[in-house]
Amino acid sequence: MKAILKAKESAILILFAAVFICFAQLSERFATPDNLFNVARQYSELAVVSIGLTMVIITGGIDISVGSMVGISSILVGVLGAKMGLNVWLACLLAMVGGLACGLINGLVITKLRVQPIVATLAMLSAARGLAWILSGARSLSGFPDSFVALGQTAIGPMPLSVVVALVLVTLGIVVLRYTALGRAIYAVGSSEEAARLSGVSVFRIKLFAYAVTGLLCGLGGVIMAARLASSVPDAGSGFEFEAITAVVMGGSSLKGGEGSIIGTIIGVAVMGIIRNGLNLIGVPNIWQVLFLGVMLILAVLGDNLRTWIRARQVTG
Amino acid sequence: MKSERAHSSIRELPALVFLGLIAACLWIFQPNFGSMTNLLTTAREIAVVGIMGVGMTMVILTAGIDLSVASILAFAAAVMGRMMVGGSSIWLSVLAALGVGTVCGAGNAVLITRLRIPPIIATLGTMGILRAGVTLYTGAAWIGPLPNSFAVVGTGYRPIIVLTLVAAGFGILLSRVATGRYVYATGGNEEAVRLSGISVSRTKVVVYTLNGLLAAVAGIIMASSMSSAQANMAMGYELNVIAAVVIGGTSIAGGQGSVLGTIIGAAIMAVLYNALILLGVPIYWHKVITGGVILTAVLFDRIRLFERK
Repeated sequence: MKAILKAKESAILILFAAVFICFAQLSERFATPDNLFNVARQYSELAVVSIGLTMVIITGGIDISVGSMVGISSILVGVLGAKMGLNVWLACLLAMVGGLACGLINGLVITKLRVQPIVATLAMLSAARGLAWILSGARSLSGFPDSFVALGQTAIGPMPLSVVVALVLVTLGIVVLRYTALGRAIYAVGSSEEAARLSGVSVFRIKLFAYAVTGLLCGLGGVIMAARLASSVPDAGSGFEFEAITAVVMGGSSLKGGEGSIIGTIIGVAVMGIIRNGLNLIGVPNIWQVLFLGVMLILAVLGDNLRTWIRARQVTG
Repeated sequence: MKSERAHSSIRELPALVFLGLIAACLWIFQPNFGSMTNLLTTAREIAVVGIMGVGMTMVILTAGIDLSVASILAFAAAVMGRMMVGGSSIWLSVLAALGVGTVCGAGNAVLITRLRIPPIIATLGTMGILRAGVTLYTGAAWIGPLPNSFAVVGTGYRPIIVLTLVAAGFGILLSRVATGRYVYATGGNEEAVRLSGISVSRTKVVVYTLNGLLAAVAGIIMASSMSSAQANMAMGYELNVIAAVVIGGTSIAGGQGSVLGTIIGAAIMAVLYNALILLGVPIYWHKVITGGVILTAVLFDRIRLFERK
């Protein structure tokens, strides 16, 4: 029990439980499997994107271009698969390659050209969103083959396919971060770049990996979104950067780097999902949800500050 | 000290040359660019982004960031708009807008200095809270029309006069007044500043509060030029403002940069936007080009640092 409370994720887990119980009391529909799977389906894209962002933030970086990378990938699926009539699966693959390319550019600009992550990804945020609008001709694209649209509605047992994909990737992310040399190197770079370098870690490769994976996952997020909505819209994923950063920080990752976990992030995404859904069910307008999330974000960081402070007091006696 | 000043005057040169080049090309090839209406429209855009940019420059000089400026702008404008529509005097309404901006900025400052929340998180939170707040406050309704005598503020030469006054005032504050020097020093080396007995948090409180005030000034101009206020005003402008600051050569790591650079950065973005419209290029290219200009500006900076070494 003590170990659980000490874990970095305990705060967000307790928050999740509290919010869940509250809404279960307030709305009869909330705790039904139908509703919960629906929430999971809507938030699977954010979950996928947040896995990559967690890694970037653990290396001490930030990526504010995630929303735009989701947008460009979603549009690539539409342009290639629906407008140009390419095989839709090939279009999905190319869209993910597009996301990966954006991520690689971010990584190279940050590592090779030594541009600060927030500036480099601000440039990408702007450029990729602009390209999405240009490629789409400022229209939403639809007319996908039935097989692709059906995939967006497919479920394995009660679980929507996108949720299964997200869960697989979450598991993979946890394994990589916890049990592989690569994962340890990611934490090492974030705690002290200099120390990591001196102990033989290639900081360049680790950072490039983090940004490239984020791009690739955004590409996948764009594909999932196109399948779920059965159309690609040029402003797909806009504002994702803020939701994803909120989820990662609520999940206990430190923006200074070196600290954080994918479990925390996923619980953070889940908290956002159930808050929005729960408030919807009890009839609270959307705009109150934004207000609520802003307050939660600040409270989450405050809680973290408080815990660090208490721990420091205990150490000094 | 003298050589440092000489150096800082060169800092803005590449951006200024770039701005001069695009403006000259436009002037020669697009007669419409030189028309009074077009120049004044562009100038107003420069003023709105530039005024917010002056505040953001100070924030970024302390190695901070403020994502909430556009939400503050909307809140200040909405409060002012409702007062005017409700029959309050113009001066009182404008004063209220400035008050709202100042209070919001001070709120950010408290979160950042007293509660020790990293600036990007604190202002990400207030960005959402304030935008939601203004939407609830206005009921998402359009507020207008504002009195004709007020609409004067945002038309003609006036926005650019306001920008000039703001830029000159804050330029002097940053270069000649002790508080301004502390702003640079805080971003340069916070620990050294603390050890030399200067209050880092007081400097930050001043900077974030003034940033809120300037967002309100920009909101007053924007509301005046549209003769209305709305909850979703200036949505996403925080990124334009940060882009202007970065294009103007201010380092996001703090300690280096200038108000003049930011104004040039805002002008580059506005003139490029104008160029695309005049040339009939889809305006979405503006986002792509802005991305490119941000990177180029930062790389120029990098090359200069490298040469100096």
